[in-house]
Amino acid sequence: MRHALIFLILSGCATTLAKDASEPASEKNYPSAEFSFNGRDFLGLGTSVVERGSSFSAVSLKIQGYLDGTASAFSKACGVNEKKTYTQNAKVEIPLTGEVKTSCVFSILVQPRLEGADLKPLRGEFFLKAVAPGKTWQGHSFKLADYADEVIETLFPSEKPVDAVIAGCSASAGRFTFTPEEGAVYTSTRDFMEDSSIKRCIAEGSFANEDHRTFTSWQIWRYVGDFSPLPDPEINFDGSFFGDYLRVTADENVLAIIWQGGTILGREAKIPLTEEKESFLRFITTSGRTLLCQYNLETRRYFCLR
Amino acid sequence: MPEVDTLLSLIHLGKPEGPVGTAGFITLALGLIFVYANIVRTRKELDRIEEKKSALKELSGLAKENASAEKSQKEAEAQLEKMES
Repeated sequence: MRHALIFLILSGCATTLAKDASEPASEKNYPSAEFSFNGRDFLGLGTSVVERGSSFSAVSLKIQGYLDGTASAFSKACGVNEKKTYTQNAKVEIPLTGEVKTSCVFSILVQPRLEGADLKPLRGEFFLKAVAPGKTWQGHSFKLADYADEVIETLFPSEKPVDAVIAGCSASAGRFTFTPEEGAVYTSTRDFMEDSSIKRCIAEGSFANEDHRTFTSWQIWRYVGDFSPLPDPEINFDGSFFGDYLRVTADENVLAIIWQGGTILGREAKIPLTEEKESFLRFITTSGRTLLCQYNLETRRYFCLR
Repeated sequence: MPEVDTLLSLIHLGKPEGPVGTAGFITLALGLIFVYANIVRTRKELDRIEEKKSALKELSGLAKENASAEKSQKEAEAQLEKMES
């Protein structure tokens, strides 16, 4: 009888873990794993450039762990096949060795674990473009709903017409002529993604005239249109005699709020601020929807990647 | 009620009496421990196999996804080079 009473009291005190009823992000083709390349953070998709022939030891690819779990990275072209276990939201360094010979795509998988919760995996993709020394390159990543198109801006400091060659993502690659507007040319995903059945692809382009020449890469994932990324949380600065903190209220589906100092299971948190200028807040749901928010203490503003 | 007393003594599982009873009881207890340890070991082995299976599935999914992404990129790169030349 006494044991039953203690059990009931303990059950009453236990935290109820929020279960996200929406379908898993990975099944909707929505990338939500977080990673960083040379200190720059990406959520889901990301692209960067290195010079062909340079050493991999000069770069750093890290995968952000959420809660406890495993993080994996795979790239056949760059010979990477890593799976590491992490604890307490640690970042996992992916060892890269040797010389950069070719461009490569890193497929990323994070499987967070939490007792009492069935957590879906987080997918991600990082595209590392290897270019010849001295080449100008611009890269963009897009998560597009399957019904949407995106206008892509390519910086081009010239006023004369630009010849472009665009290839990839669909069979009908072609030649185009663009006129720059205020130092940029604008293309649409419609120009080179005619096949709507393509879910993930990379397109490449070359833009040139007598003044200037640049290369581009566009990494695109099309997610199922009825998928809803996590909405922004409400973050308010609050200061008192005892110190400054952030009062955070996230979407009701949020399972955990993670920041530099720890983890709170639930959608509300009061986070003490450190002396650092910026605070990173991470949000995760059981279906693998994530948010990465960066709060600037000086401007008291924040923006979130989703 | 003597019948009930007899019945109770028959199903009595308390401390066994006499050397034969004690030896039997110890054998039974050891047997049960052995069976339980084997169940635990089998369960652990099954968990390990399940984990390995899931890790292999995960890896093959990741490799398949990667092959398709790298193929798409290489094709784009090759097409671009061909069209430019």
